[in-house]
Formats: sequence, structure tokens, C-alpha cells
Amino acid sequence: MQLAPSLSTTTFKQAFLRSMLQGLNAAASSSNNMSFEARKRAVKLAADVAMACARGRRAKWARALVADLSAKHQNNGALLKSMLGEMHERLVRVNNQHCCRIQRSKKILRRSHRMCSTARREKVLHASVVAKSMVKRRTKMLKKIIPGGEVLNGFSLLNEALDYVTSLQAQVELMRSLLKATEESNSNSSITHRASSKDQLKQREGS
Amino acid sequence: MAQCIPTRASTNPSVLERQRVRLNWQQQQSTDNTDCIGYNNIESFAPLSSFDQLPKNFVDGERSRNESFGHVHDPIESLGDGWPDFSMVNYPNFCAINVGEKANDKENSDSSKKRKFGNFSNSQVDANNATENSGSSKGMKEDYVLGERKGATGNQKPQNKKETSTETLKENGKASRSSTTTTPLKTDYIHVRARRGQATDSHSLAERVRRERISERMRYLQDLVPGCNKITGKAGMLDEIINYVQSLQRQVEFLSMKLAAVNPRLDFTVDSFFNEEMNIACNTGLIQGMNILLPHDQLDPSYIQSNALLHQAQVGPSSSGLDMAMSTTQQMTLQCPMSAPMQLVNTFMDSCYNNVHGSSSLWDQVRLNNTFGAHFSFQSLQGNCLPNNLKTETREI
Repeated sequence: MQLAPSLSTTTFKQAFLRSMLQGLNAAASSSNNMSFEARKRAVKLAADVAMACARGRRAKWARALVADLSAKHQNNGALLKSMLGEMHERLVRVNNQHCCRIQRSKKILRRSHRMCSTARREKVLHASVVAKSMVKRRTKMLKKIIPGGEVLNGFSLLNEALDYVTSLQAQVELMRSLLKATEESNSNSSITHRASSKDQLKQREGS
Repeated sequence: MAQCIPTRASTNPSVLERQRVRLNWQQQQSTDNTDCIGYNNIESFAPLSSFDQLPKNFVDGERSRNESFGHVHDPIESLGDGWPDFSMVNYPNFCAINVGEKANDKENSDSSKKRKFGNFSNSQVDANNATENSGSSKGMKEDYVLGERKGATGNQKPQNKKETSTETLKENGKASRSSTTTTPLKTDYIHVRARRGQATDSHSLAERVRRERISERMRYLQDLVPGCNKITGKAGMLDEIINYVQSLQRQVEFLSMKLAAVNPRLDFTVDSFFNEEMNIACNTGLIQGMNILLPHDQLDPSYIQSNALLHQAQVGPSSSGLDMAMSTTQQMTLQCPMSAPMQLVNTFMDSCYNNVHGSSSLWDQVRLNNTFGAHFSFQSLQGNCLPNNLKTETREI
């Protein structure tokens, strides 16, 4: 199934915007006494959740992101649930099943690796070895950055990175435009306030 | 990377042996005709002993993805003249692996014969195939076999045989090159041809395929991440990717901080976005499409009336259907049509896809969106830049 590029972009962005506004409204309902820091966290949470929701279940990073967010802070839980709605259970549930299996295989890998490395006493620093270690270090860093990347191998990691980068770009754009919209509306409303107050003053003077 | 082909001595099967194996294969074919083993896109051709091997799925990661591909036949079939009966299943595209590059003339002549035959049988082979066949009948260096999958969608693009690197095209939506050896009318296969002077056992071929997939992904990432055109090499690219992702994440944090500062009550409503300069021509459709949540207590009744009037005047009867459809999605509390244009949010939508759609096309899009329900499928932002195959891949994730 291949959708036209414009359609798919629109769909994704519409979904994103919708979920974002939904999340922000949910945050607003509980934002009476929030500090600035808490508000910022709520906005960021709303943005991340909206991004993950708009992407859907098909991306591993989306599921991992939601799982991370729900696990991090306890007070996020209720907020998250209200933001996600029905997708929450689906996203969180699927993730738990995958975690345990991967851990076991990593242990085995580590043990075998240790045995292999102890067998080899001498280390010759060829260029290829150096290059490989460089790449390895960077892939480890990439795994830390991308949500859910710890358990992915090379190819799928790059796939997820690709996905994640495009949705991050969309997220940044959306937030920028939201910001711009609110700023402009604030300035507009301040202008209208000033104008109306001037009118009131004139009226009072006139009467 | 010139490596000796270890089995060179046995790379010249005599005609007799080939025929024998073909008979065997044909018998085998009749027995497991209904049997789709799984996708095998790499076959080792050279050593005679390998003829006894059943085609295996060397690339493990591909198995789940390519289950739709049918059984890929033994390479021996390419030698024979009798075309097997492929009429049952829609097989994937077919590229033959031919290892004996410095082949003897017999093989050359055979392959040239096959190529011509392939041209006749597969009417969908491109014109460049014909030239390729005529031009390089002897050169077995880096051969690609092109083929088009039957029943393919219009998105397939046949690739020219120009570069020297082998590329395997395994995804469903792609066109791969037709086989010079066998291109039966209804089935196609993907084989990988080993490069000249390279190892030909299954492991190295599989590894090469894997490496090429990774490099393909790196190329896409190179397009996405700005300023990566000059960087060659995995480590540098990964560096850039990491930096870019980190910078994007930092931008998100910064923007969320600004949003929190700008709007202390965190109420992002349509009301606040209402802009007096209404850009009616392009915006009404978009606004209807977005269907922003609007808490009721913030609505001004006169405002609603004026908006409703505007709405009725401009959009017409189709809008009501859209509103009803839209209101059923998620937890929408909006019940009255909102036609106030959100100028700046619209510019966001506009900037992301270059052409502003007319309202009619947007109705269709939104209707499509609704039929999918809550399952939003992701497609890339710069959809125009990334090829279609990437989209299918991301969809399959």
C-alpha cells in the first residue's frame, strides 16, 4: 500500500496537530498551580506523546518512547492516560512483552564475547580494527539517543533513526508554528485591547 | 577486493551434467510445485555440489518480510531451454547468480542464447535490456538482471544497468532487473550476481547484501541530515546523525520552554488563534480538516453565528458531512462548525506540503483519513524526496 506523498504528509501532520492540541488541553486542565518547570515538562510531554501517537504502533521508537515516558515519573501517568486515550493500553502493553526476551539474549552474547576476547591475548591495531571500534562507539551512542534503540541491531537501528529524525523534524516545525501563532495572537489581542481602551477613554471624555 | 574463487576448477559444468541436473530439477519441480518455501534471493551457482543444495534463505532478516515471494528455483533452470511452469504463483523478480565470470565460451553462448530467449518471453523487459544483451553478450562481469513484476503498480521504476555494484531489490514495490537467463511471463526472481573476482559462497553474498542495505539506509539518512553531502564513511555519518538528533531534541526542549512561557495557562484554543485577516481561499478547507478542540465555555455565541454563516456561505453542503465524520474521531467535543482560519497554523500546513490543495481534494483526504480511523500511518515528511520504496519499508515496520 503506497499512499501519495502529499496525502500521507497531511495525514501525519493532522494527526500530530490534533493529538498535540488534545494533549495540551489535557495538560491545561490540570495546570492551575504548576510551576514554570512543570509547565515546560507538560508541554514537552504533550509534544512527545503526540508525535508517538501520530506515528502509530508501527514504529518501534514510538512504543518505546511512550513506555519510557510512562515509566519515568509517576505523576505523568494520569496525564499520559488522558492524552493518549485508547491508544495508551495498546502502546504500553505491546512493549512489555518484548523487553524480557531481549535481555536474555544480551547476556549470552556478553558471555560469549568475554570468552572470545580472553582467548585472544594480543591486540593488533589495524586500521580496520580502529575503524570498527569507532563505528561501534558511535552506534552505541545512537542506541542511547533513539528511544528503544538498545535492542536493535544495525539495520533496524538505522531504520528507526530515519523514522525518528523525520518525525522530530515535524515536531519541531509544529511547535515553532504553534509558538508563532500564539505570539501573534497575543500581540493582536494586546493591540485590540489597547484600541478598545482608547475608545473607552474617548467615550468617557466625550460623555 | 580481488579474491580467488575457490571453486574455479569446478565452475565449468559440462553440458551433459547440466542437462542431468536440469532433469533432476524438473522432477523436483513437479513434486513441490505447490510449495512456497520462502524467499531466496541469493544462490550460489558455481560449485557443482551446490546444485544438490536446496535453495536456502540466506538472508535471515528478510524471511519474514519476503514471505510473499515464492519459491525460487535452483539456478540450473537457467541453463535449460524448457521453461518451468510458473503460472500458479506470482513470484518475485529474478536475477540469476552467475559466478563463473571468466566463463568459457559455452556458458557465454548459452547465456547469450538465454538472453535472447528472455527477451522474447518477457515482453516487459526494457529497451536497455535489449541493448545490454546485444552489447555485452560475452562480458559476464557485473551483470544485473532486470525484470518487472507482474501486476506491479505504477510506482515501479526500472533501473538501468549502469553502475557496477550489485544491488538486490527485494522489496515488493520495486522493480528489479529482468533475468537474462529466465524471464518467464508470470514469475520473476531476484538473484544476486556475484561481482567479478569476489567470493561466491553464501555467507559472503549474504553479507554483501546486508552491507548494501545498510549503505542504502545511510544514503537516505544523508539526504535527511543537512550538510552531510561531503562526508564519506560510516563513522562520520553516524557522528552527524547523532549530532543532528541531539540538536533536534534540544530544539524541542527549547520550544516547549518558550511555549510554556508564552502561554502561562497552557490553553491553546482556536479562539486565541483567530486572526482578523481571514485568508478565505485556501484556509477553510484546511481548518475543516483540522477540527480543533474547542471548549464550549470559551465560545462567544455571536462569534459562532457569524462563523456559521461564513461557513455555510463558502463551503456548501459537503462540509456538514465532513463535520459529522470528523466529530466521531477520538474525543472531539466540537459540535459547531468552526471556520475561523488559523492563519499561522495554516502556514505550517502549507509549508510542509508545497501546493495548497483546493478544498475538494482535502475533503477526499480527510474522508480517507477517517476511514482509517485511529490508525495513522506514517509517511515521510519530505515525501517528494524519498523514493517510494522507502515508504513501503517504513510502512512495513
